[in-house]
Amino acid sequence: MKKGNLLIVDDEILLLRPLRMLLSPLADNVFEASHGVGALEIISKEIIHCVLCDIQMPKMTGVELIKILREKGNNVPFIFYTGHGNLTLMMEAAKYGAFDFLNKPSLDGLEEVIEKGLIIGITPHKVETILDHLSEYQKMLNDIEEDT
Amino acid sequence: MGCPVLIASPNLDWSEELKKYFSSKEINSEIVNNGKDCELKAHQDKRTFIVLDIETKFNSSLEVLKHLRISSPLTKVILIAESKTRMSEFSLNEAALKELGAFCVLIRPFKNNDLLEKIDPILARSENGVNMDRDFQSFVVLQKQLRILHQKKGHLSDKLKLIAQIIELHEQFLRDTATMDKTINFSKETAFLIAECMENEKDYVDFLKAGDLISNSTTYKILVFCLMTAQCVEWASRRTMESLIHGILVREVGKITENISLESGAELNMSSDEIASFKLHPWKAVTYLESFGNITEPIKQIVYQRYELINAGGFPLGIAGNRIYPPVKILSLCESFATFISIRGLTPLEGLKAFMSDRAQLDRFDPMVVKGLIKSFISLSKRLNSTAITKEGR
Repeated sequence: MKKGNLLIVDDEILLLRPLRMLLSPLADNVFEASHGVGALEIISKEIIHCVLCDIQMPKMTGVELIKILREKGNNVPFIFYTGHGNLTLMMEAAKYGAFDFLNKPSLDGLEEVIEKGLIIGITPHKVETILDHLSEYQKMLNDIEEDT
Repeated sequence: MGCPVLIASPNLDWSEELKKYFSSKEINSEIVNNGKDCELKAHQDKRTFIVLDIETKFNSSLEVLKHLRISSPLTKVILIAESKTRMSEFSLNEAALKELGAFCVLIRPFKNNDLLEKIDPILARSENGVNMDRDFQSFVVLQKQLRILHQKKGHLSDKLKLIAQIIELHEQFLRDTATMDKTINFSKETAFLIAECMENEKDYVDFLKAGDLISNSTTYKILVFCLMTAQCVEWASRRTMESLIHGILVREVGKITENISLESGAELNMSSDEIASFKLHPWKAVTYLESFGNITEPIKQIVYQRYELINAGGFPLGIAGNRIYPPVKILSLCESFATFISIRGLTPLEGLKAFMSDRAQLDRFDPMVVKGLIKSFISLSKRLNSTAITKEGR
Protein backbone atom coordinates (compact mmCIF):
# COMPACT_ATOMS: atom_id res chain seq x y z
CA MET A 1 0.00 0.00 0.00
CA LYS A 2 1.28 3.42 -0.93
CA LYS A 3 2.22 5.53 2.07
CA GLY A 4 3.47 8.65 0.32
CA ASN A 5 6.61 10.79 0.46
CA LEU A 6 7.43 13.00 3.41
CA LEU A 7 9.65 16.08 3.45
CA ILE A 8 11.10 17.34 6.73
CA VAL A 9 12.34 20.95 6.77
CA ASP A 10 14.33 22.14 9.78
CA ASP A 11 17.47 24.21 10.22
CA GLU A 12 18.33 22.25 13.37
CA ILE A 13 20.36 19.50 11.71
CA LEU A 14 20.53 17.61 15.01
CA LEU A 15 16.77 17.23 14.95
CA LEU A 16 16.52 16.05 11.34
CA ARG A 17 18.14 12.67 11.89
CA PRO A 18 16.00 11.46 14.80
CA LEU A 19 12.88 12.77 13.08
CA ARG A 20 13.80 10.84 9.97
CA MET A 21 14.36 7.65 11.98
CA LEU A 22 11.09 8.07 13.82
CA LEU A 23 9.01 8.84 10.76
CA SER A 24 10.61 6.53 8.16
CA PRO A 25 8.24 3.62 8.87
CA LEU A 26 5.28 5.87 8.12
CA ALA A 27 6.36 6.99 4.64
CA ASP A 28 7.67 5.45 1.42
CA ASN A 29 10.47 8.00 1.29
CA VAL A 30 11.62 10.65 3.70
CA PHE A 31 13.43 13.71 2.32
CA GLU A 32 15.27 16.30 4.38
CA ALA A 33 16.02 19.98 3.86
CA SER A 34 17.77 22.27 6.28
CA HIS A 35 16.24 25.44 4.79
CA GLY A 36 13.34 26.64 2.68
CA VAL A 37 15.33 26.98 -0.53
CA GLY A 38 16.47 23.37 -0.24
CA ALA A 39 12.88 22.34 0.35
CA LEU A 40 11.76 24.09 -2.84
CA GLU A 41 14.45 22.29 -4.79
CA ILE A 42 13.36 18.89 -3.52
CA ILE A 43 9.70 19.68 -4.20
CA SER A 44 10.57 20.66 -7.76
CA LYS A 45 12.17 17.25 -8.35
CA GLU A 46 10.15 14.85 -6.22
CA ILE A 47 6.47 14.25 -5.59
CA ILE A 48 5.92 15.16 -1.95
CA HIS A 49 2.71 14.18 -0.18
CA CYS A 50 3.26 15.87 3.17
CA VAL A 51 5.66 18.48 4.59
CA LEU A 52 6.73 18.67 8.22
CA CYS A 53 8.22 22.10 8.68
CA ASP A 54 9.73 24.25 11.39
CA ILE A 55 8.21 27.71 11.34
CA GLN A 56 11.21 29.80 12.39
CA MET A 57 14.19 29.32 10.10
CA PRO A 58 16.86 31.69 8.82
CA LYS A 59 16.71 32.90 5.19
CA MET A 60 13.20 31.61 4.61
CA THR A 61 10.57 31.02 7.30
CA GLY A 62 8.11 28.15 7.10
CA VAL A 63 5.40 30.69 6.26
CA GLU A 64 7.37 32.03 3.30
CA LEU A 65 7.86 28.48 2.07
CA ILE A 66 4.16 27.57 2.22
CA LYS A 67 3.25 30.91 0.64
CA ILE A 68 5.50 30.22 -2.38
CA LEU A 69 4.11 26.72 -2.78
CA ARG A 70 0.49 27.85 -2.54
CA GLU A 71 1.13 30.58 -5.09
CA LYS A 72 2.39 27.85 -7.43
CA GLY A 73 -0.85 25.94 -6.83
CA ASN A 74 0.81 23.25 -4.70
CA ASN A 75 -1.63 22.24 -1.95
CA VAL A 76 0.54 19.63 -0.19
CA PRO A 77 -0.51 19.21 3.48
CA PHE A 78 1.79 21.23 5.74
CA ILE A 79 2.39 20.38 9.37
CA PHE A 80 4.10 23.18 11.25
CA TYR A 81 5.94 22.84 14.51
CA THR A 82 7.04 25.66 16.66
CA GLY A 83 8.26 26.75 20.05
CA HIS A 84 6.44 29.34 22.10
CA GLY A 85 6.38 32.97 21.01
CA ASN A 86 5.76 32.75 17.27
CA LEU A 87 2.19 33.96 17.44
CA THR A 88 2.23 36.30 14.44
CA LEU A 89 3.99 33.75 12.21
CA MET A 90 1.64 30.95 13.22
CA MET A 91 -1.45 33.03 12.59
CA GLU A 92 -0.04 34.01 9.21
CA ALA A 93 0.65 30.35 8.46
CA ALA A 94 -3.07 29.73 8.93
CA LYS A 95 -3.80 31.92 5.90
CA TYR A 96 -2.11 29.42 3.61
CA GLY A 97 -3.90 26.39 4.98
CA ALA A 98 -1.79 24.43 7.43
CA PHE A 99 -3.00 20.89 7.95
CA ASP A 100 -1.89 20.75 11.59
CA PHE A 101 0.30 22.33 14.23
CA LEU A 102 2.63 20.78 16.78
CA ASN A 103 4.42 22.32 19.71
CA LYS A 104 8.14 21.99 20.38
CA PRO A 105 9.76 20.40 22.23
CA SER A 106 7.21 17.64 22.92
CA LEU A 107 5.87 17.23 19.35
CA ASP A 108 2.99 15.44 20.98
CA GLY A 109 0.94 13.41 18.47
CA LEU A 110 3.62 13.70 15.75
CA GLU A 111 3.23 10.24 14.24
CA GLU A 112 -0.55 10.36 14.18
CA VAL A 113 -0.54 13.75 12.49
CA ILE A 114 2.08 12.69 9.89
CA GLU A 115 0.10 9.55 9.04
CA LYS A 116 -3.02 11.60 8.46
CA GLY A 117 -1.16 14.25 6.51
CA LEU A 118 0.27 11.58 4.19
CA ILE A 119 -3.16 10.01 3.68
CA ILE A 120 -4.61 13.39 2.73
CA GLY A 121 -1.60 14.01 0.48
CA ILE A 122 -1.94 10.80 -1.50
CA THR A 123 -5.73 10.99 -1.79
CA PRO A 124 -6.74 12.70 -5.02
CA HIS A 125 -8.28 16.04 -4.15
CA LYS A 126 -11.95 16.30 -5.06
CA VAL A 127 -13.90 19.46 -4.38
CA GLU A 128 -17.23 18.39 -2.96
CA THR A 129 -20.20 20.59 -2.32
CA ILE A 130 -23.31 20.15 -0.23
CA LEU A 131 -25.16 19.47 -3.51
CA ASP A 132 -23.17 16.24 -4.01
CA HIS A 133 -24.44 14.95 -0.70
CA LEU A 134 -28.05 16.11 -0.47
CA SER A 135 -29.60 12.74 -1.33
CA GLU A 136 -27.34 10.99 1.18
CA TYR A 137 -28.30 13.52 3.85
CA GLN A 138 -31.97 12.91 3.13
CA LYS A 139 -31.49 9.16 3.48
CA MET A 140 -29.79 9.65 6.83
CA LEU A 141 -32.55 11.99 7.99
CA ASN A 142 -35.04 9.23 7.12
CA ASP A 143 -33.00 6.80 9.22
CA ILE A 144 -33.21 9.24 12.12
CA GLU A 145 -37.00 9.43 11.68
CA GLU A 146 -37.16 5.63 11.89
CA ASP A 147 -34.93 5.59 14.97
CA THR A 148 -37.13 8.02 16.81
CA MET B 1 -9.14 39.94 46.48
CA GLY B 2 -6.75 41.90 48.71
CA CYS B 3 -6.67 45.32 47.13
CA PRO B 4 -8.91 45.58 44.12
CA VAL B 5 -8.61 49.34 43.49
CA LEU B 6 -5.54 51.42 42.65
CA ILE B 7 -5.77 55.22 42.69
CA ALA B 8 -3.25 57.06 40.50
CA SER B 9 -3.16 60.84 40.72
CA PRO B 10 -0.60 63.60 41.32
CA ASN B 11 -3.19 65.19 43.65
CA LEU B 12 -2.38 63.35 46.89
CA ASP B 13 -5.04 65.13 48.96
CA TRP B 14 -7.74 64.00 46.59
CA SER B 15 -6.32 60.45 46.50
CA GLU B 16 -6.25 60.24 50.31
CA GLU B 17 -9.83 61.50 50.53
CA LEU B 18 -10.97 58.94 47.96
CA LYS B 19 -9.08 56.14 49.74
CA LYS B 20 -10.89 57.07 52.99
CA TYR B 21 -14.21 57.06 51.19
CA PHE B 22 -13.55 53.61 49.69
CA SER B 23 -12.44 52.40 53.08
CA SER B 24 -15.77 53.55 54.60
CA LYS B 25 -17.44 51.34 51.97
CA GLU B 26 -15.16 48.41 52.88
CA ILE B 27 -13.23 48.60 49.61
CA ASN B 28 -9.45 48.37 49.93
CA SER B 29 -7.45 50.72 47.77
CA GLU B 30 -3.86 51.82 47.27
CA ILE B 31 -2.40 55.11 46.11
CA VAL B 32 0.35 55.97 43.63
CA ASN B 33 1.25 59.44 42.39
CA ASN B 34 2.89 58.70 39.02
CA GLY B 35 2.36 56.59 35.95
CA LYS B 36 5.42 54.35 36.32
CA ASP B 37 4.38 53.23 39.81
CA CYS B 38 0.86 52.71 38.55
CA GLU B 39 2.09 50.31 35.84
CA LEU B 40 4.37 48.55 38.31
CA LYS B 41 1.65 48.05 40.96
CA ALA B 42 -0.83 46.89 38.32
CA HIS B 43 1.72 44.35 37.13
CA GLN B 44 2.61 43.11 40.64
CA ASP B 45 -0.96 42.59 41.76
CA LYS B 46 -3.85 42.38 39.29
CA ARG B 47 -6.42 45.08 40.05
CA THR B 48 -10.08 45.06 39.20
CA PHE B 49 -10.11 48.87 38.88
CA ILE B 50 -7.61 51.65 38.42
CA VAL B 51 -8.86 55.17 39.06
CA LEU B 52 -6.49 57.12 36.84
CA ASP B 53 -6.27 60.90 36.94
CA ILE B 54 -5.71 62.20 33.42
CA GLU B 55 -3.12 64.61 34.90
CA THR B 56 -0.89 61.69 35.97
CA LYS B 57 2.68 62.05 34.73
CA PHE B 58 5.89 59.96 34.49
CA ASN B 59 4.41 58.00 32.58
CA SER B 60 1.49 60.02 31.33
CA SER B 61 -2.07 58.82 31.86
CA LEU B 62 -2.37 57.98 28.15
CA GLU B 63 0.84 55.95 28.20
CA VAL B 64 -0.43 54.11 31.27
CA LEU B 65 -3.75 53.46 29.56
CA LYS B 66 -2.05 51.99 26.49
CA HIS B 67 0.27 49.92 28.66
CA LEU B 68 -2.58 48.49 30.74
CA ARG B 69 -4.60 47.63 27.66
CA ILE B 70 -1.87 45.22 26.66
CA SER B 71 -0.46 44.09 30.00
CA SER B 72 -3.67 43.92 32.06
CA PRO B 73 -6.59 43.86 29.63
CA LEU B 74 -9.03 42.77 32.32
CA THR B 75 -8.32 45.71 34.59
CA LYS B 76 -10.94 48.40 34.20
CA VAL B 77 -9.55 51.93 34.04
CA ILE B 78 -11.72 54.83 35.18
CA LEU B 79 -10.24 58.05 33.85
CA ILE B 80 -10.77 61.21 35.88
CA ALA B 81 -10.57 64.52 34.03
CA GLU B 82 -10.50 68.00 35.54
CA SER B 83 -12.94 69.42 32.99
CA LYS B 84 -14.12 68.96 29.42
CA THR B 85 -11.84 71.82 28.39
CA ARG B 86 -8.86 70.06 29.93
CA MET B 87 -9.81 66.88 28.10
CA SER B 88 -9.96 68.70 24.78
CA GLU B 89 -6.44 69.98 25.43
CA PHE B 90 -5.41 66.34 25.12
CA SER B 91 -7.23 66.35 21.75
CA LEU B 92 -9.34 63.48 23.02
CA ASN B 93 -13.02 63.02 23.65
CA GLU B 94 -14.69 60.36 25.77
CA ALA B 95 -15.23 57.98 22.83
CA ALA B 96 -11.56 58.16 21.85
CA LEU B 97 -10.47 57.49 25.42
CA LYS B 98 -12.75 54.46 25.59
CA GLU B 99 -11.22 53.25 22.36
CA LEU B 100 -7.81 53.54 24.01
CA GLY B 101 -9.05 51.23 26.74
CA ALA B 102 -10.78 53.40 29.34
CA PHE B 103 -13.72 51.69 31.01
CA CYS B 104 -15.39 55.07 31.61
CA VAL B 105 -14.52 58.73 31.99
CA LEU B 106 -15.65 60.92 34.89
CA ILE B 107 -15.35 64.68 34.69
CA ARG B 108 -14.98 66.78 37.81
CA PRO B 109 -16.95 67.80 39.72
CA PHE B 110 -18.54 64.45 40.53
CA LYS B 111 -19.63 62.82 43.75
CA ASN B 112 -17.68 59.91 45.18
CA ASN B 113 -20.93 58.02 44.98
CA ASP B 114 -20.87 58.35 41.15
CA LEU B 115 -17.55 56.55 41.18
CA LEU B 116 -18.83 53.92 43.56
CA GLU B 117 -21.76 53.20 41.25
CA LYS B 118 -19.31 52.28 38.49
CA ILE B 119 -17.17 50.11 40.73
CA ASP B 120 -19.54 48.45 43.12
CA PRO B 121 -21.51 46.08 40.85
CA ILE B 122 -18.34 44.64 39.33
CA LEU B 123 -16.57 44.29 42.68
CA ALA B 124 -19.64 42.62 44.16
CA ARG B 125 -19.57 40.11 41.32
CA SER B 126 -15.88 39.43 41.85
CA GLU B 127 -16.12 38.99 45.57
CA ASN B 128 -19.54 37.42 46.04
CA GLY B 129 -20.22 35.77 42.69
CA VAL B 130 -17.04 33.74 42.79
CA ASN B 131 -15.36 32.71 45.97
CA MET B 132 -12.19 31.35 44.41
CA ASP B 133 -11.17 28.86 47.05
CA ARG B 134 -14.65 27.56 47.78
CA ASP B 135 -15.84 27.37 44.19
CA PHE B 136 -12.63 25.98 42.73
CA GLN B 137 -12.96 23.27 45.32
CA SER B 138 -16.39 22.40 43.92
CA PHE B 139 -14.83 22.34 40.45
CA VAL B 140 -12.30 19.77 41.63
CA VAL B 141 -15.01 17.72 43.31
CA LEU B 142 -17.10 17.64 40.12
CA GLN B 143 -14.08 16.52 38.13
CA LYS B 144 -13.42 13.74 40.61
CA GLN B 145 -17.05 12.61 40.37
CA LEU B 146 -16.82 12.52 36.59
CA ARG B 147 -13.61 10.49 36.74
CA ILE B 148 -15.20 7.96 39.11
CA LEU B 149 -18.36 7.74 37.02
CA HIS B 150 -16.24 7.07 33.95
CA GLN B 151 -14.24 4.36 35.72
CA LYS B 152 -17.50 2.70 36.78
CA LYS B 153 -18.71 2.88 33.18
CA GLY B 154 -21.53 5.22 34.11
CA HIS B 155 -24.40 6.09 31.81
CA LEU B 156 -23.93 8.73 29.12
CA SER B 157 -26.66 11.02 30.52
CA ASP B 158 -25.09 10.96 33.98
CA LYS B 159 -21.70 11.84 32.54
CA LEU B 160 -23.23 14.69 30.56
CA LYS B 161 -24.98 16.00 33.69
CA LEU B 162 -21.62 16.30 35.40
CA ILE B 163 -19.98 17.74 32.29
CA ALA B 164 -22.78 20.34 32.10
CA GLN B 165 -22.08 21.39 35.70
CA ILE B 166 -18.35 21.56 35.06
CA ILE B 167 -18.89 23.69 31.94
CA GLU B 168 -21.30 26.05 33.72
CA LEU B 169 -18.83 26.55 36.53
CA HIS B 170 -16.00 26.98 34.04
CA GLU B 171 -17.98 29.69 32.21
CA GLN B 172 -18.73 31.48 35.46
CA PHE B 173 -15.05 31.48 36.47
CA LEU B 174 -13.87 32.51 33.01
CA ARG B 175 -16.10 35.59 32.98
CA ASP B 176 -14.73 36.83 36.26
CA THR B 177 -11.58 38.90 36.27
CA ALA B 178 -10.54 37.40 39.59
CA THR B 179 -10.59 33.81 38.35
CA MET B 180 -10.15 34.05 34.59
CA ASP B 181 -6.44 33.26 34.40
CA LYS B 182 -6.70 30.38 36.85
CA THR B 183 -9.60 28.96 34.83
CA ILE B 184 -7.63 29.18 31.58
CA ASN B 185 -4.77 27.32 33.24
CA PHE B 186 -7.20 24.70 34.46
CA SER B 187 -8.88 24.27 31.06
CA LYS B 188 -6.30 21.79 29.69
CA GLU B 189 -7.00 19.40 32.53
CA THR B 190 -10.74 19.82 32.07
CA ALA B 191 -10.48 19.17 28.32
CA PHE B 192 -8.34 16.08 28.90
CA LEU B 193 -10.81 14.66 31.41
CA ILE B 194 -13.87 15.26 29.22
CA ALA B 195 -12.12 13.77 26.17
CA GLU B 196 -11.12 10.72 28.19
CA CYS B 197 -14.63 10.19 29.53
CA MET B 198 -16.37 10.71 26.20
CA GLU B 199 -13.88 9.03 23.85
CA ASN B 200 -15.84 5.80 23.59
CA GLU B 201 -19.34 7.23 23.74
CA LYS B 202 -20.56 6.67 20.23
CA ASP B 203 -24.33 6.39 20.55
CA TYR B 204 -26.25 9.52 21.57
CA VAL B 205 -29.66 8.49 20.26
CA ASP B 206 -31.33 7.69 23.60
CA PHE B 207 -29.99 10.91 25.03
CA LEU B 208 -31.27 12.88 22.03
CA LYS B 209 -34.67 11.18 22.16
CA ALA B 210 -35.15 12.50 25.68
CA GLY B 211 -35.11 15.95 24.06
CA ASP B 212 -33.61 17.55 27.14
CA LEU B 213 -30.03 18.64 26.63
CA ILE B 214 -29.59 19.00 30.45
CA SER B 215 -28.13 22.51 30.34
CA ASN B 216 -28.93 25.71 28.49
CA SER B 217 -25.29 26.74 28.41
CA THR B 218 -24.33 27.35 24.77
CA THR B 219 -20.77 26.22 25.47
CA TYR B 220 -22.11 22.91 26.75
CA LYS B 221 -24.37 22.47 23.72
CA ILE B 222 -21.50 23.21 21.33
CA LEU B 223 -19.33 20.75 23.19
CA VAL B 224 -21.94 17.96 23.00
CA PHE B 225 -22.51 18.48 19.26
CA CYS B 226 -18.76 18.60 18.62
CA LEU B 227 -18.24 15.37 20.53
CA MET B 228 -21.06 13.70 18.62
CA THR B 229 -19.82 14.93 15.24
CA ALA B 230 -16.17 14.12 15.90
CA GLN B 231 -17.21 10.50 16.56
CA CYS B 232 -18.63 10.34 13.06
CA VAL B 233 -15.92 12.10 11.10
CA GLU B 234 -13.22 9.73 9.85
CA TRP B 235 -10.21 11.97 10.37
CA ALA B 236 -11.12 13.10 13.89
CA SER B 237 -9.04 11.36 16.56
CA ARG B 238 -8.79 11.55 20.34
CA ARG B 239 -6.28 14.36 19.85
CA THR B 240 -8.80 16.24 17.70
CA MET B 241 -11.46 15.81 20.40
CA GLU B 242 -9.18 17.03 23.14
CA SER B 243 -8.07 20.06 21.14
CA LEU B 244 -11.65 20.85 20.21
CA ILE B 245 -12.86 20.68 23.81
CA HIS B 246 -9.95 22.82 24.97
CA GLY B 247 -10.64 25.34 22.20
CA ILE B 248 -14.34 25.44 23.05
CA LEU B 249 -13.55 26.13 26.72
CA VAL B 250 -11.35 29.16 26.01
CA ARG B 251 -12.91 30.42 22.77
CA GLU B 252 -14.71 33.39 24.35
CA VAL B 253 -11.64 34.91 26.00
CA GLY B 254 -11.42 37.66 23.35
CA LYS B 255 -15.03 38.67 23.90
CA ILE B 256 -14.53 38.75 27.65
CA THR B 257 -11.40 40.90 27.53
CA GLU B 258 -13.06 43.24 25.03
CA ASN B 259 -16.37 43.47 26.94
CA ILE B 260 -18.36 42.04 24.01
CA SER B 261 -21.71 40.38 24.76
CA LEU B 262 -21.49 36.62 25.17
CA GLU B 263 -25.10 36.10 24.22
CA SER B 264 -25.62 33.63 21.34
CA GLY B 265 -26.06 35.47 18.07
CA ALA B 266 -25.53 38.90 19.69
CA GLU B 267 -23.54 39.94 16.60
CA LEU B 268 -26.70 39.64 14.50
CA ASN B 269 -27.98 42.89 16.03
CA MET B 270 -24.72 44.85 15.96
CA SER B 271 -24.05 48.03 14.01
CA SER B 272 -21.35 47.98 11.34
CA ASP B 273 -18.90 49.66 13.75
CA GLU B 274 -19.63 47.09 16.42
CA ILE B 275 -19.22 44.28 13.89
CA ALA B 276 -15.81 45.64 12.89
CA SER B 277 -14.74 45.56 16.52
CA PHE B 278 -16.37 42.15 17.02
CA LYS B 279 -14.29 40.69 14.20
CA LEU B 280 -11.11 41.52 16.08
CA HIS B 281 -11.94 39.41 19.10
CA PRO B 282 -10.40 36.12 17.83
CA TRP B 283 -7.05 37.93 17.51
CA LYS B 284 -7.47 39.51 20.95
CA ALA B 285 -8.17 36.04 22.33
CA VAL B 286 -5.02 34.41 20.93
CA THR B 287 -2.93 37.38 22.00
CA TYR B 288 -4.21 36.94 25.54
CA LEU B 289 -3.81 33.15 25.44
CA GLU B 290 -0.21 33.45 24.21
CA SER B 291 1.01 34.03 27.76
CA PHE B 292 -0.35 30.66 28.91
CA GLY B 293 2.22 27.91 28.45
CA ASN B 294 -0.33 25.10 28.31
CA ILE B 295 -2.39 26.62 25.50
CA THR B 296 -0.83 24.87 22.53
CA GLU B 297 -0.83 25.95 18.90
CA PRO B 298 -3.82 23.80 17.82
CA ILE B 299 -5.94 25.44 20.55
CA LYS B 300 -4.91 28.92 19.45
CA GLN B 301 -5.71 28.06 15.83
CA ILE B 302 -9.14 26.76 16.82
CA VAL B 303 -9.87 29.95 18.76
CA TYR B 304 -8.49 32.15 15.97
CA GLN B 305 -10.22 30.43 13.03
CA ARG B 306 -13.53 29.46 14.59
CA TYR B 307 -15.55 31.88 12.43
CA GLU B 308 -14.00 30.74 9.15
CA LEU B 309 -16.46 29.22 6.70
CA ILE B 310 -15.89 26.79 3.86
CA ASN B 311 -17.31 29.32 1.31
CA ALA B 312 -14.68 31.90 2.38
CA GLY B 313 -17.42 34.04 3.91
CA GLY B 314 -15.97 33.89 7.42
CA PHE B 315 -13.42 35.94 9.31
CA PRO B 316 -10.73 36.95 10.36
CA LEU B 317 -8.90 35.41 7.38
CA GLY B 318 -11.74 34.67 4.96
CA ILE B 319 -10.04 31.40 3.96
CA ALA B 320 -11.97 28.67 2.17
CA GLY B 321 -12.26 24.92 1.95
CA ASN B 322 -9.17 22.95 2.79
CA ARG B 323 -7.26 25.99 4.03
CA ILE B 324 -9.35 25.92 7.20
CA TYR B 325 -7.78 24.01 10.08
CA PRO B 326 -9.77 20.72 10.11
CA PRO B 327 -11.02 20.77 13.74
CA VAL B 328 -12.39 24.26 13.10
CA LYS B 329 -14.72 22.79 10.49
CA ILE B 330 -16.38 20.77 13.24
CA LEU B 331 -16.54 23.70 15.65
CA SER B 332 -17.92 26.22 13.17
CA LEU B 333 -20.73 23.85 12.17
CA CYS B 334 -21.58 22.83 15.73
CA GLU B 335 -21.44 26.38 17.04
CA SER B 336 -23.85 27.50 14.31
CA PHE B 337 -26.11 24.56 14.98
CA ALA B 338 -26.13 25.16 18.75
CA THR B 339 -26.90 28.87 18.19
CA PHE B 340 -29.59 27.94 15.66
CA ILE B 341 -31.48 25.70 18.09
CA SER B 342 -30.91 28.04 21.06
CA ILE B 343 -32.36 31.07 19.27
CA ARG B 344 -35.38 29.09 18.04
CA GLY B 345 -35.92 27.11 21.23
CA LEU B 346 -35.79 23.77 19.36
CA THR B 347 -34.75 20.35 20.58
CA PRO B 348 -31.68 18.96 18.75
CA LEU B 349 -33.85 16.64 16.66
CA GLU B 350 -36.27 19.38 15.64
CA GLY B 351 -33.33 21.67 15.09
CA LEU B 352 -31.49 19.23 12.82
CA LYS B 353 -34.44 18.98 10.43
CA ALA B 354 -34.88 22.74 10.31
CA PHE B 355 -31.13 23.32 9.95
CA MET B 356 -30.85 20.80 7.12
CA SER B 357 -33.66 22.41 5.18
CA ASP B 358 -31.74 25.68 4.95
CA ARG B 359 -29.44 25.30 1.92
CA ALA B 360 -27.85 28.73 2.30
CA GLN B 361 -26.88 27.75 5.82
CA LEU B 362 -25.40 24.40 4.77
CA ASP B 363 -23.23 25.84 2.00
CA ARG B 364 -21.03 27.43 4.65
CA PHE B 365 -19.84 24.12 6.07
CA ASP B 366 -17.72 21.16 5.05
CA PRO B 367 -20.07 18.55 3.48
CA MET B 368 -18.31 15.65 5.22
CA VAL B 369 -18.60 17.33 8.60
CA VAL B 370 -22.30 18.04 7.97
CA LYS B 371 -22.61 14.34 7.20
CA GLY B 372 -20.88 13.57 10.50
CA LEU B 373 -23.35 15.71 12.44
CA ILE B 374 -26.38 14.04 10.84
CA LYS B 375 -24.84 10.59 11.26
CA SER B 376 -24.34 11.19 14.97
CA PHE B 377 -28.14 11.36 15.36
CA ILE B 378 -28.46 7.78 14.04
CA SER B 379 -28.13 4.85 16.43
CA LEU B 380 -24.77 3.09 16.42
CA SER B 381 -26.31 -0.28 15.42
CA LYS B 382 -27.97 1.27 12.39
CA ARG B 383 -24.76 3.07 11.45
CA LEU B 384 -22.77 -0.18 11.67
CA ASN B 385 -25.40 -2.01 9.61
CA SER B 386 -25.32 0.53 6.86
CA THR B 387 -21.51 0.42 6.80
CA ALA B 388 -21.62 -3.38 6.54
CA ILE B 389 -24.17 -3.19 3.72
CA THR B 390 -22.06 -0.63 1.87
CA LYS B 391 -18.96 -2.84 2.20
CA GLU B 392 -20.86 -5.94 0.96
CA GLY B 393 -22.19 -3.92 -1.97
CA ARG B 394 -18.63 -3.12 -2.96
